[in-house]
Amino acid sequence: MTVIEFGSREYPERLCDLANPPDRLFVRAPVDADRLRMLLVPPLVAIVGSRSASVAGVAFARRLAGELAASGVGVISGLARGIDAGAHEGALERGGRTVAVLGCGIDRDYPAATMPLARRITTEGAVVSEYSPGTPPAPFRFPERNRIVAALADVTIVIEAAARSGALITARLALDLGRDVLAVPGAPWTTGSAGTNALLKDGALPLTDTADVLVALGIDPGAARTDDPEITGLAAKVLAALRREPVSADVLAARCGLTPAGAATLIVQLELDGIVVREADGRLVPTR
Amino acid sequence: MLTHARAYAVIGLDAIPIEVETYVSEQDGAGAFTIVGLPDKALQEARARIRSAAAAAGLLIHKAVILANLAPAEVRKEGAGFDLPIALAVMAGFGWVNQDTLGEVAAVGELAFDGRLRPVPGILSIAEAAVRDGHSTLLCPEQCAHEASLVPGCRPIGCATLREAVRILNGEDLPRPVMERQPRAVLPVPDLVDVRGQPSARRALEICAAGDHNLLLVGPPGVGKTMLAKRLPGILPPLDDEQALLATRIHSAAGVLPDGSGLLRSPPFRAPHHSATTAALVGGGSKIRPGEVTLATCGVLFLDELPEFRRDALEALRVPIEDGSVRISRASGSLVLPSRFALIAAMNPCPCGSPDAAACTCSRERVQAYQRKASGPLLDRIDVGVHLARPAPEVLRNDRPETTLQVRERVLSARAFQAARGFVNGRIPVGRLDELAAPDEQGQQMLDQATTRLMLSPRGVHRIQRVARTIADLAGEIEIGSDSIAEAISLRLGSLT
Repeated sequence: MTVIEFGSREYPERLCDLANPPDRLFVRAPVDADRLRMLLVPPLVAIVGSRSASVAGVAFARRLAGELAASGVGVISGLARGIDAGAHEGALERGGRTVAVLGCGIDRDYPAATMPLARRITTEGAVVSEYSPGTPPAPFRFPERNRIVAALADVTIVIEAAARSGALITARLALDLGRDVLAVPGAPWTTGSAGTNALLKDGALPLTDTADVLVALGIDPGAARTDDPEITGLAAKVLAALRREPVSADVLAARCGLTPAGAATLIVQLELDGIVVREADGRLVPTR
Repeated sequence: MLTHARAYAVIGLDAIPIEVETYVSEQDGAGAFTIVGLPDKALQEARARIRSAAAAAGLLIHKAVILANLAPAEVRKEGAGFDLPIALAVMAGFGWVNQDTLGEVAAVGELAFDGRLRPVPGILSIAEAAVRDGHSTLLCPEQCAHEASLVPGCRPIGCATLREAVRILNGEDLPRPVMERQPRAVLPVPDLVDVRGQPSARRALEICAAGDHNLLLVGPPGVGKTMLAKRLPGILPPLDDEQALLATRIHSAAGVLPDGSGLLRSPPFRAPHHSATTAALVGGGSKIRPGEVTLATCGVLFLDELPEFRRDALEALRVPIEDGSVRISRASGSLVLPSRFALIAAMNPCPCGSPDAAACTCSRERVQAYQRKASGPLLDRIDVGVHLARPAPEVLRNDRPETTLQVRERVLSARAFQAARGFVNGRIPVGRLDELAAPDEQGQQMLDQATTRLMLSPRGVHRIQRVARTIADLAGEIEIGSDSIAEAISLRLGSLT
């Protein structure tokens, strides 16, 4: 464990923008102060959102984080399940930088759902907290933790947040710091996006693809646009069928004239390419 | 006078020989009738039945002192099947039956007060054991004769009454020929062609039948989960002689063999209600009885509303599913019964069972608890998962279901490949997977990609290999290509597995 005191040379400068900067930061071993410093070099984004996000939402977070990581952007988040976990994973997948800020002591295995991910971040990224080891998780600590997430990042991205989501607190804290907030718009009839839509009304920047983030960060998006391989043939037809509405594999097969086996094969290929995800009820949703 | 007769006690699926010894003294005149040798209550009451039945046959025994001993003494004897052998040994004691003739046969049957013989469970086990012990002739109730005759080498003599049994033993009557009993109208096995609008679920069912994989169906009420499950026995291969005898013996021992059904030739289908106790599922109880897992042997065990089953009952299913056998231990002894079946389970996506996700009122926590309850104990025993939704009109329009016969044809040919390899795919041991179910190069690439992308556990990878082997077998392909692997990957439940 490494402890970084407020006022020390290693203390992240950006935290000083906060009205109430943390007295010290605890960093989970084996990461040391120098390594953390490298992880926190701009550009950085915070990616936050609902814990009970849709599978498609998590997939979007993952892809976005991955593409940002590939453009050299680091990802800060809170290690919660759902959007947070997707963002961390996406960044790690592309060998990018990622830092998890906990709302409890860094020695706590919390949340349980993201433990395997936490282990990866411990070595490949960094796990930090302002709370001394042993501090248990508590509801009131999470909003407090969110100010660190917002302060470390250049911009804060909100993907899927319901009307009273903790992610909105992070967004507000980011605005207080004068940082940009980007929000992913959702259909008005999905309650899971009420919070992000409200942010957009209040002036958050709409986010529909990675380029939006890069522009907000002042990076030329031209270089990064080549990420998606072009989809052609039957896969394109399948994807077009899914764009109208998420449907089951059976409906998809009927619309595209495929056998159950043929549809299953094609869908798995699209899943593995990260183009399509399966919701909990088995319906298929495109991620781009 | 000391006389004896040969009886059998059914223990689990086996029968063990019991020597009935009787001592009859007409002089003592006190009229006592005692049965010793660890008899249960029903067997104690044989005394009343035997006295009355003997009287009905015109033979008065109530004044004599009668002692009956059932050996070996330490084996607990249960049920009324000992009525006939005890009665015959007593008759021999009075000199009404020839002891030498009686010594050549085995006997089983319950007596009614008027002397009629009533059928008892476990005849098949008794007949098998009798033949094994060199007693090819089995004296039994006439309703049981057909069942006993299913055992090769057994010559059952069916009797309607105690009097008839005595007359046959004394050579005064000829044994009547064993009548094939009129089977009750056999319900036709429902056809797979009836399941419209669920093509991928039908496909999953076919794959499970072909490779002996366990299946979990998830979908709202009314989409056809039970319909599908009931059609699984129809597409499974019919039982071979050995399986047929085993399944029939199990049903006979449990006393649930339908009257006159003969050998069970189609795979049994067992669907215990979710309120079933652990003992009902895996067997046991104070009197050891085969449970549902044993009754489903060579057939299908269907667990509808999986998360509603008691947690301890689901836990208790793990070992029978894994080992294909179940050990039941009770104060009265312990025995091992077979439990090799195809498992098919069904559940709603959430506890409220609303027809679509939008109408669901369950909290996230409740849904998770519900799903965890199902997946916790049995998750790693389920190879194939499939979501069912209300069929959309376009699916119904385009769906062209095949008949059970058409599907079974493919299942049988896929099973032939597996027989040649020595394992059904669902039971290939982990150690032999790389030899028997290795994907080709592209298949392996896809499997590797899926492993990282979908964060599959090693067990998840093995599951995909086994299922992909079956998919390739169904297509008649030697190599497991990427298409087979992809389809196997698709047969999982996002939220549960």
